[in-house]
This record gives sequence, C-alpha cells and structure tokens, in this order.
Amino acid sequence: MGISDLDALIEKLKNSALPSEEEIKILCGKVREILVEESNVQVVYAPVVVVGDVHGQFYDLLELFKVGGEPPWTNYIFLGDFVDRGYNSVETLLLLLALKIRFPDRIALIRGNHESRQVTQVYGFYEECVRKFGSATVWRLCTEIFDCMSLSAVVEQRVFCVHGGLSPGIESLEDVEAIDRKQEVPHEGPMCDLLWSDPEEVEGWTLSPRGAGYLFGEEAVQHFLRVNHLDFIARAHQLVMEGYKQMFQGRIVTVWSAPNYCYRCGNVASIMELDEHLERNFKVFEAAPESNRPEKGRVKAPDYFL
Amino acid sequence: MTLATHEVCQTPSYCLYSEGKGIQIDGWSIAVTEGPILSSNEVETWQSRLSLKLPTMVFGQNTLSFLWNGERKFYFSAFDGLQTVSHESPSLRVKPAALWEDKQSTFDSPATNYDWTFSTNYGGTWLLEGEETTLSATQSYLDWPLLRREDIPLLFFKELSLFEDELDDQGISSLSVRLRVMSSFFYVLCRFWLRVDNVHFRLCDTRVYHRWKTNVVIREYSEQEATFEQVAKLGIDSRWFTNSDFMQKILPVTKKSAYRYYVK
Repeated sequence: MGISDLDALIEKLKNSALPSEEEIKILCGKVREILVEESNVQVVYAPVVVVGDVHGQFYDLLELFKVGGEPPWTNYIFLGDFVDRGYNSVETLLLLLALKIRFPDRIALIRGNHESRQVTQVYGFYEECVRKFGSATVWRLCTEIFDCMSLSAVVEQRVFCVHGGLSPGIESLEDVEAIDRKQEVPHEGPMCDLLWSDPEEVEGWTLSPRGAGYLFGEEAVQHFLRVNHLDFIARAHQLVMEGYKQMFQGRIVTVWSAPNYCYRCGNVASIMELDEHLERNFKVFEAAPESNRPEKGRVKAPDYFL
Repeated sequence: MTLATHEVCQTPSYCLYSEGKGIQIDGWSIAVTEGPILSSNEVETWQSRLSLKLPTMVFGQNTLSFLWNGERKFYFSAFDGLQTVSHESPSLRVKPAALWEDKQSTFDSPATNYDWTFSTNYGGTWLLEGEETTLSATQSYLDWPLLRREDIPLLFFKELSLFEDELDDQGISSLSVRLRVMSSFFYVLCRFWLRVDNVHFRLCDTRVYHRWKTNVVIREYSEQEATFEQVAKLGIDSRWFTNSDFMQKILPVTKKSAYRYYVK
C-alpha cells in the first residue's frame, strides 16, 4: 500500500465509504507493524491536541478535525474508546488507523477500556462489524490491533496521558514501561487500572462500591506527579457535560470528546490543546449538524410497546 | 353506554402541542418537558440534596405530567425517581469483583451509603388517592387484547430517559418512561432496567392505563428478577440480554401489585 493508495483510502473513509475486508486486512497488518514497536509510554512533543472518548461518533470525529485541525497539520493524542456506543465504530476506528499509518509521528493512539474483546461484544462494536461485513472477521482483525495499542503518552516529559487513571501498582513511568501490554485487557492489575480507574474526592486509594476498580484521590495524584517530575495528568473515560473537567487544582483533567453522547445526552465535547509552553486551551464543540450526518439523529419511531 | 373490553371507542377530539410537547384529549392534558443531562454544578446540587452519588446521565429536565381538568394528577421525573434509591449498599457486585477480593482488606471502600445499582420501584409521583391490591404473577387489571392491537391509531408517542448509568461499562441501570396516546386510551410504561453483565437482571415496570370516557386510571407494578446463571440455562442468544423488552418476556415475576384511581 503506497502513499497514494493510503491517501485514497483516507479520502474514502472520510466520505464514510467502507473498505473491503481485504483492504482492512492490509490496513491492520500495516498499523500493527507500527503499533507493536511503540513503547508503553509514548513520547510526544508539544504543541499537541489531546482527545478524549470518541465512541464511534464518526461524524463528530470529522467535526473534531475541523475544530482541532486536520492531521498532519495538527499533532494528536487520542486517549482511547474509539469504538462502542455510537453507530459508526468501524468507520471511526479505520479512519484513525489509516491516519496512524500515514502520519505515524503525528497521531498517537492510546488504548481505552473499550478496546477489548470482552467489552466490544456487549457494547456495540462486535455487532456493528457483523452487521456491516456479514461476519466477525473484521472485528477479530481489529481486536488484534487493540492488543498492540500503547497504554500512555508523556508530552514533553511533563504531562502524563492515559485513558482511565493511575494504579496503586504503578509508582513510576518505568513501571508502566515494564507492563507486557500485548494481551486482552486483564480484569485486575496495573494494566487494567490504567484503563479503568477514576479520580474522585477520596483520600489516597479506595475501591469502587461496585466491587472492582479503583478510585484515586488528590494525594495519589500529587505523589505520582512528584515521583515522576510531571506537571499534570490528562485522561478521558468519564462523561463530562461541559466537555472537560479539572480536579485537584488542575493536577488532573478529564477530556471528553463525544458531543451529544449516545445521540441524546445534549452535552458538549472538547479537545485540549497544549501549546509549546504546555498551556492548556480547551476547544469546546457541539455535535456535527444534521446536514453533515447521513444517519440522522436518533428520533425514536413511535411503537406499540407493551 | 359501556363498551365491551378491547373494542375501540370513537376518537375524542384532541389537540397536539407544538414541537411534540404533549397532547390534550378527553379532559386530559399530557405534557412533556425535555432537556440535556445535568451540568456538573447541577450534579453537585442534586447530590447534596439527595445524599446520593448520581448516575452518570441524569435527565433532570425530562418530565411527563398528566393533568385532569387543568389539575396535575401524576407525573414522572428523574429527581423523584432518584429519591427512592436506597441509601444502603447492596450485596450485588460486578463480575470481576471476585478477582478483587484480596484487595478488600488492603484498600478502603468509599462511603457506600448508596445503592450503586440505582435500583428503584419508582412508577411516577401520584397526587391521587388509591388503594393497593396485591396480584399474582398472572393476574392483571390491564386490557391486554386492546393494548396489543396495532390497528388502532396512535395519536402521540414519547420516550423519555430519566436517568442512566453504564455501571463503569459493567452493565446498565436506567429509568425511562414511554407513553402512547391512542384513539381509545393512553398507556404509560415507566421502567427501571438493571443488567449487571454476567451477574444479574432486574426489571421494575409500572404500567398506567386509562380508557377514554371512563373514570378509572389503572397503575400496575411488577418486579422481575433473575441471576445471569438462571437466564443462561434458558439457552437464549446473549445478544438479547441488552434488550429490556425481550428480557421482560422471560424474566420471572417476583412481585406484582395494582392501584385503581378514580378521577371523575
């Protein structure tokens, strides 16, 4: 696949045309070669735009590129959760993978908790693949790519970027480096925590009342930043009505990039620009207008429910 | 003149509010309000008023109200629904919790003075006096043959989310209300739906039914519940597990009751 083929494929994807299974196989092979070589802590330089959950809202991703700038003119870090929930996980993921192959140094793809076999079988991506391609082949190819995705990024050695949050099993960035990430997301342990945990107004570390998952407080954040000589943490994973939320005096920020989540929450989304001085500038945006989304908003048809 | 059951009556004259905000029919005004999820500030205010950690999506502006001769008789709202959520921690845990047991002794659990499943039997806020009757699982006051008829004109339809939580991607907890106003009756389904992936299912349904030209409003409540193991034995394709309408047909009824209200 040469550069012109790749550009043509990107154009095709942007017009929401689906590639063939054969093309997807080639695409996955290429992106795999790039991703496996990446470190668990990707080194990224500013200026850069940090993007939170996208969740298959393809037309809103196109809107996001209008707001943040088209790759490669803008440097991006995507914090995972590319798939599930929205109607167009396939288009969303494939476009990001194609861009990754075309501009490997201008776009970092970090794994989210939805980039997993188990989760995608319940929350939409598996079904969408089967519906659009008639079999689970594409889903299987994509889940192998999930296993190769990096777990975090650090911008200019000062901003730690991760999908979920911290882990009590991780003291330093070297501990993140030491994880063998090429596997399905485990149900517990440091790799699981990076993708699942949430900041909360608690002291130190506590367990979620649901029985699995950590909540970490300001102390845990301050400690991690101090040990690793970092300024702050950027993460995603939680819906925020205003598109972003800063906690603990700005030491951790949640970025949410799926506007009108699930086509009915009415929330705005944001992306976070970090300039060369690592100053944060949040760009808030709304869902793509109806005229730009062929699938239309989900207006539920009347039904004779019982 | 009384009509035999499951026969349609003549459509009363009616008037639709603009932008799908409701309908006036046979002395009833049925009004809808809608909005986005609560803002972060509103979440904080509600949390302190309710002493509850809120679900991630609370549709605080969504309401469905029923007025008879201009007087509100019952309505559905997220706030009132959340008020009925228990302040005790349930024994239910997500599936991976078994792998986390060894951490229980090392790490504190936060103040778990709320039900993280947000389970509620909320079936509307009622300003009418009625008497409750316990029903058996197969009993019903509803006119099912009439409700099932799909040849009757549907005059107005609405589905509103009141709250929803993804349980950290371990399932779903949601409270919603659906309405259909037909040429012969109105019918409401207020549903609490809980699925803890690979662990548990729970449905708490409230159905409200009123036939035009009568003075009775019937409210029926049913609770259905089963463990994942019990359901797995039935050999159903797991794709159906996310569909509450389907699961309603197979989950065993554990509780059922009804109210009759007189409005005229």
